[in-house]
Amino acid sequence: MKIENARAQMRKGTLDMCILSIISKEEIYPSDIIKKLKKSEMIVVEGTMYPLLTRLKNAGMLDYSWRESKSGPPRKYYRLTKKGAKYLEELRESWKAIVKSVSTF
Amino acid sequence: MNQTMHINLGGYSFVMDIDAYDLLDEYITSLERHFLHEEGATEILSDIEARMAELFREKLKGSEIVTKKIVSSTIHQMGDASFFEDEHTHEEVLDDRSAGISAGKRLYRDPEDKILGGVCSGIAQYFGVEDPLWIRLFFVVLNIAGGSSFVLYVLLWIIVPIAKTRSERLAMRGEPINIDSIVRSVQDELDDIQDSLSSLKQKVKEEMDFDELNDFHEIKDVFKRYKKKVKNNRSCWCPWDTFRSYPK
Repeated sequence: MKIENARAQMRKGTLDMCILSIISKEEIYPSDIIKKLKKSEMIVVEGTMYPLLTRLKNAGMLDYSWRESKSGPPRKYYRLTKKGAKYLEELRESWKAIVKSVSTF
Repeated sequence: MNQTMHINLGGYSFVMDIDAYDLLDEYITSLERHFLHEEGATEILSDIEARMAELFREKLKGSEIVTKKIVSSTIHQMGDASFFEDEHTHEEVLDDRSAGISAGKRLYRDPEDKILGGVCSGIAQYFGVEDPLWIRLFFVVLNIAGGSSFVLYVLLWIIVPIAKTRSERLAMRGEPINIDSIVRSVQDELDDIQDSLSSLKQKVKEEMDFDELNDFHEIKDVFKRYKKKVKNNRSCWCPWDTFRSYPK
C-alpha cells in the first residue's frame, strides 16, 4: 500500500471535474489548463490531459474554436457546452456528497 | 559535431540533431500505436505535437538546435505511452514493465538476423528460443523429411510483416515500448555505428602507407574548411546531410 497510488487514483477520479471547472470559468487554451493543473498538483505528466479533452469534446461536453496567436500557429480555445455545464453541475453535486459522506466516518 | 535536420512540428519549424530526431520519431510512433483504436486519435496526436513544439521553444531559450536532452526532458514531461491510459505512479509503471514483458509481443520477421526473410529468427524471438538456428534446423529437417516446410516458409515470408521501425522491433522481442527501452535501443544502434566506424578507421590506418595517410589528412582538412563554410552559410548545400553516418 502506497499513499502515492491512492493519490493517483483520487486525482484520476476528479480530473474530469477539474478540467470542466477550469474551462467553465473562461474560454481557455490547453497549455494554460495544464499550468493550472500542475500548479495544484493535479497531473504529473501532461500527456494525460489531451486524450481526456478529446473524449470530453467527442462526448459533447466541450467545444472549441481556433484563435490567432501572436507568437505562433493558431490555437484551440475550449469552452463548455450546455451539456458540459449540466454534467459539471452533476459532478459537483456528487463530489459534495462524497466529501460529506467521507467526513462523517 | 552533429548532423542536423529540419522538421515541422505543430506548425513550428525546428532544426534538430539526428539523434534527437530519432528519439522524437520513436516517441511519436509509440503514441500512434497506443492511440491506434482510439476515436479522435489524429486530433489527440496533433494536440500533443503542438504542445511538444511549444515546450521545445520554451526549452530552446534562444539557442537554435533541438538536442536529444531537450527531447528527452520534453518526453518525460509529457509522459510515455504507458502513462496515458491512466495516470499510474512510477512504481506501478515499473511493476508493469517487469510483469508485462510478453504482453505486447508480436510476430515479426527479424531484419537484423536473417538468412532469407528473417522468418525463423522472428519465430525464435516470438517463442523465446535463444538461437534461431534450432528453428532453421526444424524447417530444413521437416523439408527433407517430406513435409512442405518450404511452402510454409514462403507463406510466412509473405504474411508476416518485417519489423521495420524501432517500436516494431521492441514488440518483436516482447519488450515494452516506453521511453527507457526506446532510449536504450537508440543507444545500442549508436554504439553499433560507433563500433563499425572505429573498426573502419583502424582498417584505413592499417592499409594506407604514410604518404597516403598524409593525403587522407589533407582531404580531411578540406572537408573541415568546407564544413565551417557551411556552418556560416546555412542555405549552402551540405553533402553529408545525405550521409547520416559520416564520422565525427
